[in-house]
Amino acid sequence: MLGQARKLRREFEDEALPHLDALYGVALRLTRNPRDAEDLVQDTVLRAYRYWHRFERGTNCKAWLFKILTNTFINRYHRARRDREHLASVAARVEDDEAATQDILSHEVAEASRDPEGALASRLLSDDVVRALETLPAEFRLAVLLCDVEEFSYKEIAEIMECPVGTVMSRLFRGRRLLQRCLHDYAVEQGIIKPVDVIDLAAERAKRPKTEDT
Amino acid sequence: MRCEDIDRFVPAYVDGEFEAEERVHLERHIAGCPRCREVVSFQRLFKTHLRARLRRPEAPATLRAGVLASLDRADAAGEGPRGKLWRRLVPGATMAAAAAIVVIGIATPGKAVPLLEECARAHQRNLPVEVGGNEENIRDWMEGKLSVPVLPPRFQDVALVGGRLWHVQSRDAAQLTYRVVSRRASSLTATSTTTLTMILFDPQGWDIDDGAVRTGEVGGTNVVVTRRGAVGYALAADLPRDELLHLVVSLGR
Repeated sequence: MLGQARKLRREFEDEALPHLDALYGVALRLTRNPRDAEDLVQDTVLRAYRYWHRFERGTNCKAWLFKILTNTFINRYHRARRDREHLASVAARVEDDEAATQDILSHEVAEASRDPEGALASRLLSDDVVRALETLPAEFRLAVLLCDVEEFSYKEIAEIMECPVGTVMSRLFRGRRLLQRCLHDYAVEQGIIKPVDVIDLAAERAKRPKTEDT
Repeated sequence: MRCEDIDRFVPAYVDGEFEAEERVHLERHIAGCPRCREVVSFQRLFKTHLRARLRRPEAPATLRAGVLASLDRADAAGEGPRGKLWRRLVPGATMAAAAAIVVIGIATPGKAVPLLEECARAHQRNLPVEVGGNEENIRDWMEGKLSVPVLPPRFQDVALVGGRLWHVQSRDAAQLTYRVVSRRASSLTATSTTTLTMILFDPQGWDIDDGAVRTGEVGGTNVVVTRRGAVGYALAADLPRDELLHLVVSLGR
C-alpha cells in the first residue's frame, strides 16, 4: 500500500470507526433485524471509506456517516422493501394523525396531571418502546432516533435527512405523538394505566384556547 | 406567549434548540401556567425515558471484523479513498508520468479541427448503436467493414455500450459508445453516468504524430483526439477536459 493510502486508512479508522456502535444502533431500528442492520452498516462504512477523500476535514464526521447511512438505507433497503411491508395500519394512523393530535394533546395534559411521574415510557419495558418505535414510518423513526438517542441538532438532522429544518420538526412532532399513542395503548393493555375513557376529551378541548391556524 | 404558542414550541424547547431570549419568554409563561408546565414536564420526561429505553446496542464483534475485512478488500482492489479520475483509470501509474504524457502531447487543434467537429457531432446526435455486447463482439462485427482494426479499448469504471459505423469526412470510422460513472455528482453519495463517444479512425492525412493529443470544445462538448500507432482516437463527452485527458492517457495500456 502506498504511504498516502495507508495514511488515509488510519485516519478513517480513527475518525469513523468509533461511530460503529451508533451506526449499528440506528441501523437496527431502521431495518428491524440484526442481519440487515449489519449489512447496512457494512455498506455504509465501505461507501464512506471510498469517499473519504471527500469528507471535509474538521466537520462533523458522525453526521456525515449518518447521512451516508440514511441514503444507503433509502436507496437499498427501504425502497425494495416498501411493497412487501405491511404499512397499512401505520399509514392509517398517520392519515388521521392531524385530527388526532388535538385529542392526544388533551389526553396528554390529563395524563400528565393524573400521573405526575408523567412518562408512559417510564413504566414500560425497553421491548415495548422498541416495538412502538418500529411501528413508526421510517422517516419519523429516524428523526426521533437522531434527535433523542444520537442527540443531533435539528440543523444536523436536516442535513442528514436532506430536508428543511421545518420538516425535521414536523417529523419529530408527529413521530413522538404516534409513539406516545402507541405506548399508551400498550400501557392500557398491560393494565399499567387506565383506559382513556376516564378522560372527557371534549371537556379537555373546551378548556384549551382555540388555535388560530385551524 | 400564549398557550397555543407553547404547544408549538415545546419540542424545540425540550430539545435544547431555543436561544436564550426565547427560553426566557417560554419560561416566564410556564412559571404562571400550570397547564403548560405539565406539558413541558411531560415532554421532557418522555424524552428522558425514551432515551433510557432505547439505549443503543453494541455493534457485534462480527460486524467490526467484517468492516475491517471489507476495508482491506477495498484497499487491495484499489477502491479505497481516492482523488481524481486518473487514479482509477491509470492504476499504478505515477502522477508525474501521467501528467508528462498529457502535457507533452497537447497541441492546438490545427488541421484536426474537422475531426474534433465530426466527433462532437457524433456525440451530440447520439444515434443508436448497431452492435452491442463486449469488446470481442464489436471487434468481430467491425472486422472487414473498416480499414483500421477496431478493438474497443477498456477502461476501469467505464462500460462499453456498443458501436456503429460513422464517417469522418467521407472516410469510414467506428463509433463506440461508453457509459462513464461520474463521481462528481452534486449529492454526496449519488453517482451519475454520462455518455462517452469514441471515434476510431484512420489517422493517415490528419497530421497527428503518434502519441500527440489535440483538444477542443464544440458546443459544450469536450473533444480529445490522439493517435496510437495506426489507430486514431477521438473522444467526446460532456465531461471536464481533465477527465477526458486522463482517459486518453490510459489508452493502449
